[in-house]
Amino acid sequence: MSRRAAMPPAAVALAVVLVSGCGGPGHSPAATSSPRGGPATTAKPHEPPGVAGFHSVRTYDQLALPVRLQIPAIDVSTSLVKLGRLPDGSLEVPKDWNTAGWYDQGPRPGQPGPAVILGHVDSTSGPAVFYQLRTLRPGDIVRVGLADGRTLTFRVQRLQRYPKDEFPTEAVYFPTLNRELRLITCGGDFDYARHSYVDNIVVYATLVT
Amino acid sequence: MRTTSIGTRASGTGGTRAARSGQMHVWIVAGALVLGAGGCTASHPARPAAGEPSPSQSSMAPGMQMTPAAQKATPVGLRIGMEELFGQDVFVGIRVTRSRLRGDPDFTQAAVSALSRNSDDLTKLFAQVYGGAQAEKFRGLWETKQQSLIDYARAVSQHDQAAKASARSQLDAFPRQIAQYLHHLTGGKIAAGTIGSPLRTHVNDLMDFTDAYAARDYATAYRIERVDYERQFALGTVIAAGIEEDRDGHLPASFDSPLTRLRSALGDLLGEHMQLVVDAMGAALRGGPEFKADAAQVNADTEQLAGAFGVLFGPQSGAKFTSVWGDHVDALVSYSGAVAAKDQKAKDQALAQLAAFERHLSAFLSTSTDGRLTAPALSDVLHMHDRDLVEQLDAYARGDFTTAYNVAYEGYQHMFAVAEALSGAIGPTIAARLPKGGVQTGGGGMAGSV
Repeated sequence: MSRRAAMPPAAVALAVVLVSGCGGPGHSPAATSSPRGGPATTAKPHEPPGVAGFHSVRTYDQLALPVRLQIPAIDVSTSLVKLGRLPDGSLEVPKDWNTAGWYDQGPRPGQPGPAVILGHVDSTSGPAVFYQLRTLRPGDIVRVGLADGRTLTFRVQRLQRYPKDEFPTEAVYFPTLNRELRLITCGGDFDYARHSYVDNIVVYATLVT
Repeated sequence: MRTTSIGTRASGTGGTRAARSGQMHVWIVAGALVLGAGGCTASHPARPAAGEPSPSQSSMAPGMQMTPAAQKATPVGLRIGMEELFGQDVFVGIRVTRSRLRGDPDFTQAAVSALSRNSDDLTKLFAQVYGGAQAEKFRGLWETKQQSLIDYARAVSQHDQAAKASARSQLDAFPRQIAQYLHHLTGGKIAAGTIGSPLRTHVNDLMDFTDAYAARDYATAYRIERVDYERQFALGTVIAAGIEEDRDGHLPASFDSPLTRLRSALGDLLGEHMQLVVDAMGAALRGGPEFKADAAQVNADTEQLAGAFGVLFGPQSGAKFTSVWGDHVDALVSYSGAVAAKDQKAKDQALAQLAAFERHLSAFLSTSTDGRLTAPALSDVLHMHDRDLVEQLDAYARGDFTTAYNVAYEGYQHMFAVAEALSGAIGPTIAARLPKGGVQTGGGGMAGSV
């Protein structure tokens, strides 16, 4: 974009109105910042108030680790375990059917980016912690308890079902810097030959408070 | 992987206007420093494609040009342009208000020029989609808001309750008017009710800022300013989405892709950094009582940037970023103090600190992005940012407010080019590290009912 050589007509008109309406004991920044009247050799250096004591922040709030998950709409209340990655690059899953887990190499809940929490939909013999996850609806509330006692509230935005062999890695995991939560479990048909459900269900939620 | 370096180095701090014009070229060239599949070249910046590559395919191709006007062809360009300009409106509008309250006629004139320039740029953006006649209607409505805000500030400064009530009435009417305009403009895709609420909040923010600043409650005023910027930035997203939606309510995939969202978020924070630091430097120069409150918001922005880098590259990187970025902010404040004190030695020290910052952060970012951003090119980009901030302050100090505002105006826009370059390099770096595929979260015990 090229810099304008002259003030646009509209600005001129507006400025005339403004300037003509000015009154009172104002001061110009130039007058303040460039005081006149004293020889430089005798003037004491002027240090604006607050400047000398200013130091930029050198830390940032990383938020405490997530330790608990509650989803009132489907009666979920579970502690959270830490999850890493498997040798094939996929996410580790909780060893306990009834306990959810947080992927600890991604954002923590409440940090910029999508925090990921996994839970089983069922065990080999019955329902598991995320059995009802597929019934969540936009607007439902998800709460994450942190190790320092704080509780974060997320609101469900949408739910998507993806075939596992077409899982949208970037849509789910890419750190967009929006403070979001992903809840993931299995869904669809069960492939008995592979001992695996064919789909994943992903709930997308955003931070409320 | 291919590496590219910038062949044109920027001139030193305090360059001429001609040098700044050359800077535009460097900025476009800077786009080519990001490596990827797009194959952009310095001499022929790629025209944005209709779609946007996924993060793993990222290059600078989408919206490489730095101006909103040049980004019109793509949905992503429209989004970024709307976010950038609606966000900018907050800061340039508030500067008019603030200068009016302080009674700085010369300063106010330059501030009004910047505000009008923002209106021009927004009008151009609408004109690219809907034509000049419709865009001029937007300008008329938008400038009504700006004039009403100025009237409000004047009334507050003169303790004229009747005039204040009149201006408030005008501002109260604005959200409905602009919401109806946008509703009709987009054929109903932007619901008047949906857009009216954030616009009402916006004008209330502006009046609250004015009241707080007039009452010397600077902490409240600057907190409101920053919140309003975030809201208006988001409003830009909403308006762009309404324009880009098809008849079925679907958006182009590129509009809200992960990479676009990263670029948008970085632009949000970096643009805010530029605006807040400009004001903090000005307050430091004037010895303005609002310095502390403004600096607190600079720190808040720094914390958010650090949090972002901590998530992108890990907590240690976040800490490293905070340290280096803190050096940058400290040096800029020191420079302002040195100019105020007419202390050449202190100015030179601050400039040396800025040069060190440029080296350190460029090395950090180059390493973090696996060399997708080259350190020399990054150093140039960071130097341009520092030069913008130093140059606008120098102009301010000598009373050349028009130059000060122009440099600050374009410096803000440069931050969105920085965001584009960063996201274009970070995207593929991060994408390569993401988990692979779906998860095995079922035992099959309830198969048939899942």
